[in-house]
Amino acid sequence: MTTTWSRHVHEERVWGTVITFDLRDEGLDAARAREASAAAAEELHCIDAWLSPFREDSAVSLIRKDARAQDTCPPPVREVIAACSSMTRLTRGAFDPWRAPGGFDPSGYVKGWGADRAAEILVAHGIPNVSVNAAGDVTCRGRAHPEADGWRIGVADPRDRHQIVGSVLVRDAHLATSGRYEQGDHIVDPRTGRPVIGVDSATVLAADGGLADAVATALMVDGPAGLAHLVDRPISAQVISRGCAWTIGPAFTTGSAARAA
Amino acid sequence: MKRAMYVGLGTIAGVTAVLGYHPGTLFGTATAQATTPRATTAANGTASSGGTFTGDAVSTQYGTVQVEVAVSGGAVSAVTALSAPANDPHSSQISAAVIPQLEQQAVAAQSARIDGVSGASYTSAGFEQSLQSALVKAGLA
Repeated sequence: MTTTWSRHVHEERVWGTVITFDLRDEGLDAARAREASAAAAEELHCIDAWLSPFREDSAVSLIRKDARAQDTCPPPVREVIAACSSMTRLTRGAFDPWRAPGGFDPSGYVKGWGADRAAEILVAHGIPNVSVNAAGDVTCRGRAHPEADGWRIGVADPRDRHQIVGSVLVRDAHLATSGRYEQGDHIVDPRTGRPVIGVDSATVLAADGGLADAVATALMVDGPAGLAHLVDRPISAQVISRGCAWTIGPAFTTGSAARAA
Repeated sequence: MKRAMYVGLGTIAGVTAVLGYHPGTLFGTATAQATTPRATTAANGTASSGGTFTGDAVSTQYGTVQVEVAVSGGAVSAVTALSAPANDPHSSQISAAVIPQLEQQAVAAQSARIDGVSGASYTSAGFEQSLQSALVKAGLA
């Protein structure tokens, strides 16, 4: 590697975690990078205000009190609600925000969806190469290095998240990993309301961040069996269960050209 | 499930407190840190022979962070914090949590150069930037 791009990293504390923006380009303008980051960060705070179940005044909290509020929410919230319905169908109920303990909770979709929205804003500010890492769910646009084909994102080892089990080349797509380390041992099947044994981790690469996030959540419930009805979808996925990796799609089988179709 | 995203990340939120963010906080920015002090210690070895390599000192609003990597047989054998925010007991505690993470990530990443991690806990960009510069000096990045 002989050339490197300038890099600008922004860390934003929001959603009860930290979201990192990584902006790269040749001769990246620092002022523009800061401006872009501020705009994307503002979007994340808006999303929190709309969709956090932990804010009394959020749309999600209103919906928990009265489901009819779904019809009067701001357009982005209705967009999330509609997308969550289609994710519930796609996952055959393994992802179902309406059956979350405590009431409607779209968080399993929102992290990936929100990372995509932040990335869109950064790109719209004229910065083509960005990644948005929402506590381990990563949206990538463009590439990380001048000669790279995208961003090479490591997948944390579910048994020791300070290690990686492998890496995936991500370009203009989102890589979501759901793991036991993140959720604890209490994984509930929304269809039965009962705890399931679950798997160690599920990682999904898809063009759409919200979809990747929701499907990874569902695969934590369904395990390797959940991969079967996803084979015809333009996604790659890996489920690690008892030390064995189950995969669909090219990203995890060839180790190259992992761009989401 | 990703309520865990809000409630389960207590430790991660704790780690972030190291450098104590508030909205809009910005640091660890290569393009914006003309005032970043450079490491005064140059490499005293090569990746093949081994040695210690000092990363750039990176200014953050909570203090300067700087790491050193020890290389043996062409591989990272240890990562040490030469400087970490320790103005108060909380910062010291958090720094103590970040350094072992960095060490493990450096060892994991050197065999497959990666630009990010999915499903991983959070590591301060300030530390990561210093580590990266040390790895470059060591010829490992």
